[in-house]
Amino acid sequence: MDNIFFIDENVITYAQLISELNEPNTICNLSEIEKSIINVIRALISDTIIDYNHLIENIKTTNSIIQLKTSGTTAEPKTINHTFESITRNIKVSNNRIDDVWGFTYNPTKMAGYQVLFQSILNKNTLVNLFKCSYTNTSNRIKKYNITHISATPTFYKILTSEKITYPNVKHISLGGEGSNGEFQNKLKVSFPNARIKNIYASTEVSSLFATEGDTFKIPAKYKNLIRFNSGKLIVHKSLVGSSDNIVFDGDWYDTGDLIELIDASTFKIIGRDGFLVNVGGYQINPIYIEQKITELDYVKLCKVYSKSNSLLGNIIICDLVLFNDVSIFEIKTDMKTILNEYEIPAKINIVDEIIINENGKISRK
Amino acid sequence: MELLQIINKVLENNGYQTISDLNDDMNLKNDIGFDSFMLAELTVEIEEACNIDIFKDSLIFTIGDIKKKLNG
Repeated sequence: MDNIFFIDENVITYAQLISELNEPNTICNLSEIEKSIINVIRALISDTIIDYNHLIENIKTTNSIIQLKTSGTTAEPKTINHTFESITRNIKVSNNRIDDVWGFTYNPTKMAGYQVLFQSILNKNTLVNLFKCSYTNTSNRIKKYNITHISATPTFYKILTSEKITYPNVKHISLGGEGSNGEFQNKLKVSFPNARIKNIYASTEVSSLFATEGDTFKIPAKYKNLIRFNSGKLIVHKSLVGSSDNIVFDGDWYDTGDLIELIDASTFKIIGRDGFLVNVGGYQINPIYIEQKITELDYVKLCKVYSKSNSLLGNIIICDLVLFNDVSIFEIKTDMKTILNEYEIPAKINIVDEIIINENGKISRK
Repeated sequence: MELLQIINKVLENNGYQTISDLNDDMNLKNDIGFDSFMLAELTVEIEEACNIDIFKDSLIFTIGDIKKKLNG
């Protein structure tokens, strides 16, 4: 039986994928996501494809430059050029991965989408679309198609685990694109009791670099001389960075802008973004840290923490919350005092019906 | 929203007893019990309700000071 390549509006087998690549419009009524994925693959191949092995050979030997736009979560998007090799440097291919079924949560034209797409194709796996799917559709598809692997943002998992549903079929979940701490990852074990949980450090600029269980990253031996820490920030050698007119190097080094807490010479935690610390009454506040701590409260479904200039304190911290149940501002503030310093507690707490999530599955920071 | 309602909202949010009326001589810290974080919260609430930053260009100590700012 032919392996299934992609499930969305259609169920597309690898044989049908190859037919569509060779002769566009062979498959009728492709959904937008199906078209987009097929176009990503088509851009990498140069021959008429004979079979799956020929497809993989074509993809792996492509000379095409892959242009990716940064997500624009916090700034204007910029274009970064990558090779197939740089995008897939941490993709694992082996015979015992043949039965993996991946949930596809990312935009296929972004870095994370490319990585999941090729992780799946190179192992001849099935991808099930979850990108832009409703909560109910996502939950149903994970069970119906027996999805075993999901790679998504912490925000995706926060929304998915907001109902007390367990997904015992999922064997592996990875988080990336936004920060998450060990407490949040432990919470996910309730919904994914059989899953190994990995936290990925990746960006459009550097592709995927590190993976860990928990929130402490260790520099792999192969990157020992290619990673530095400077002024509390993660610095990466240019050989690991895509090319772009928008990237500024300091000699051979690229400042990721990610703030780190150094545990020892080769292990660290990501604690925030450079330029995102806020001065509140003389205290340097990290909104992302506060957001992660507030998310630990059981009744918080989603949380967004940001700052606003204030003539009294310089800046104040504001917090938008989507809650599972009614809780008073006073109760919330009382609980915040148990997990935050007083000066970290948001001066203004808004209980809202929703928080805007961008199409990359992240909380929009604009 | 009236000033009394805003003051009481901030008091309630921080677990303090609300008050029934205001007079111009009331000191925000000594008489009402605001600390600097509650004052910051008060400025945000007033700015949202009236679009006026009461601490801009001057210090505020009393209810009368706020009223002067709000009345221009």
